[in-house]
Amino acid sequence: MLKGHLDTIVLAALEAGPAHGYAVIEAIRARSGETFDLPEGTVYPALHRLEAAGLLASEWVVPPSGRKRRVYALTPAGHEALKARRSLWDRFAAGVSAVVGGRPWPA
Amino acid sequence: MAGVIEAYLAEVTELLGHDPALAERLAEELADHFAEMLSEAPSEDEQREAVARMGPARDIAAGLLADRADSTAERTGAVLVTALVATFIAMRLRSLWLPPLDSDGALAGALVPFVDRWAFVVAMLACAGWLIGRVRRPNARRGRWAAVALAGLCASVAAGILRIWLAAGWAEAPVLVVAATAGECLVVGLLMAQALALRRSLQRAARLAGL
Repeated sequence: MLKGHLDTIVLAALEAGPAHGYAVIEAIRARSGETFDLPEGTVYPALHRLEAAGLLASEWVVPPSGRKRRVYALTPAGHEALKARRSLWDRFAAGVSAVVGGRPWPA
Repeated sequence: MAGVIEAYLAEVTELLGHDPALAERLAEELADHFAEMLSEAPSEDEQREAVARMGPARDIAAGLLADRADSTAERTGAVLVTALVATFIAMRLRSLWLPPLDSDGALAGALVPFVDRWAFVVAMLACAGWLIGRVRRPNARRGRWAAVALAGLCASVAAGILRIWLAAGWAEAPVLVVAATAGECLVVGLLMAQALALRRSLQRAARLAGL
């Protein structure tokens, strides 16, 4: 189920600001309360895919530690896509909760 | 960083060997990931655990190649539609501006316009199949539709060239007709290159997914 939403999750993880792959994975793990402990390698194809779609931009940066790293950031199109996907998700989640949330069905 | 992680990075690089820039970029990103995750001199067990958390190298490579194949399929679709438009314009100009072919018993006189038109129709139907298929199942990669459309367009272009030659000869044909046919040839050539790239891309993705 997570796989279908991975792109949205990655976009949301980058909403706070630019980050490299490891930081994105850590943000996903932390913000999900460690619910999403996905194979870390699945995030890299998602980052490349979102960049190819124009939703992310990336560049190599050399931090003071001296190790070159690829940093990803949302593009304006990425912000728009996240907004649209979030709205869709809110409706979907509300619908699923209403059906399987355990409330009694109306007679 | 040596040992298990080095072997893992070497495997990723080898799996993506057809695209050295992508292989190098991913290997550098993963090396940074492992360096961030582990201490300066990780033990072999720590390295094994880090690699296990990353997942199999072939899964990462397969994911990247599947996405590349999808992008190539998108581009092929765009070039295919462009080629159809170019072929239609060239075909209409040939019909409007060239004198009709003599059909006094010569098979070519009847066959060439027939192929010119109906091969185009076949290409158009294949293109429609491609587009409908992509709307219904966006992740499906429809190399066969592209191949049929390409074959139809090639036949239409060949018939078009023959039609100009038979009807007026290259020196006598209206410049606009010759220019439109040249443009048609160019776009169909581009489509052929794109279709070959799609074929290679699909084969690589399938090979890796089947490992």
